[in-house]
Amino acid sequence: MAHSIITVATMKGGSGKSTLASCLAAHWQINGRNAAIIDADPQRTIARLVAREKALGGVHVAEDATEDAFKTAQRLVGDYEKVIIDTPGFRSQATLACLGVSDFVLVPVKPSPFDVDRMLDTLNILINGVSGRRPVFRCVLTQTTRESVIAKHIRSELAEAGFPVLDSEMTNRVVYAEAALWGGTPSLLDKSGPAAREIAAIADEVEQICESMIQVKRAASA
Amino acid sequence: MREHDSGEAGRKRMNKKKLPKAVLRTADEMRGTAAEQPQETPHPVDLNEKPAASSANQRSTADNVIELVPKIEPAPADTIIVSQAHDAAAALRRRKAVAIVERYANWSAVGGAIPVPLANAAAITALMVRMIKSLSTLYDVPFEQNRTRAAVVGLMGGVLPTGLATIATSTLTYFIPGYGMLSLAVSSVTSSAYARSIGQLYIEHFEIGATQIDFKKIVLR
Repeated sequence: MAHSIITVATMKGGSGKSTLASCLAAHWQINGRNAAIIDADPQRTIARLVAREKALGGVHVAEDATEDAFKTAQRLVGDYEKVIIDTPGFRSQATLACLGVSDFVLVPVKPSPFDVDRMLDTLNILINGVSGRRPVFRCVLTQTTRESVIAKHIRSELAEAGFPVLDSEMTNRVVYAEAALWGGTPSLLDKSGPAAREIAAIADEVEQICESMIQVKRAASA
Repeated sequence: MREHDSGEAGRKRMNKKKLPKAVLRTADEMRGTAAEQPQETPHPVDLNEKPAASSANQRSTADNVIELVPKIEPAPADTIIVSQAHDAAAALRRRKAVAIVERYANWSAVGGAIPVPLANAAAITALMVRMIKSLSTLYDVPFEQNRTRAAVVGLMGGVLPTGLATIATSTLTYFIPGYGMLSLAVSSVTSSAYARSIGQLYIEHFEIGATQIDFKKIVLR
């Protein structure tokens, strides 16, 4: 399994970046993958979370909200299979630098026009390239209400507009906040629960994309 | 009885709800603008750089959008610091001025207790002139002794008519047998009070940036 840097980024605050980053890291850690998170968000959400009882299931957390966060990621990716960068919810040089070194970018978005509008600014950067690179990215719907019309509407509109969206999504559930009280994620509290299954589905999709990218790279180099 | 839509039929109707567009830009439009704008580069860092607006971002503002928040130019930081420093210096100077007046008011109390008729009035006048000289030095105002002495006498006798009268009366009581101690006390208290009054007048006068020359106007007022 190749090592990869996965950045969770959008310039809209409150979209669920830190929740998604922590959930994916904890999921991979539980499943025997060596995961690390770089908390590049000055709000220190992940750093605060890991200070609680369950300490995010032993996920290594590096706190680096400087513009050199990407260097920390490059350093850690040799030791950890999955290095996830949690970026701040606003435009920053640190985020741009992290996008420039990422193998894959997850762009969480709430099914709301306010969030979609701001997320499009992030996608604009990704599509037009950062430091000469155009990282592979996927949007992921977060905090959705199950079977809601607005979530379906936004999903279909994003797809129609040519923005790739993960099939899996994070439904709005109280278990995320409850798990955070323990310093954990739904996967750490109840591995077979609905929230944990959703996280697993997102993680599987991400892994499949990363694997296919590696295969494409190998084929291109061969 | 009125029937409500519910169950499967209701949900189907809900799902058919026509919603306006949520995604206002497409990936192709973004790619189209890629050639026009430079790529994002994280370095070198320019903190003053404003985010580059894409052509899609530059779409015209709707006519019904009114800018409600007035643009207030914030005062430069150095101006604020200078202003705060100036306020602090002015407050310190005023405290020093009040201390000078208090000191001379105490000396005036002693001067007023001199049991020699008329000599105590001369002593108090001299003390007040010295007090005003100290205040002039503190406020960096040119000091003119003759003009100041005239102003002090004028204040005691004209602006504060009871001042000179009280001092004169208490001085005259020295000549009355048995009233010596009482007159001493009265003279001491009134001298101190008038020193304070004149001192305060001069402080207010200098605080507004006036000089001794135009102090005459205040006296006349």
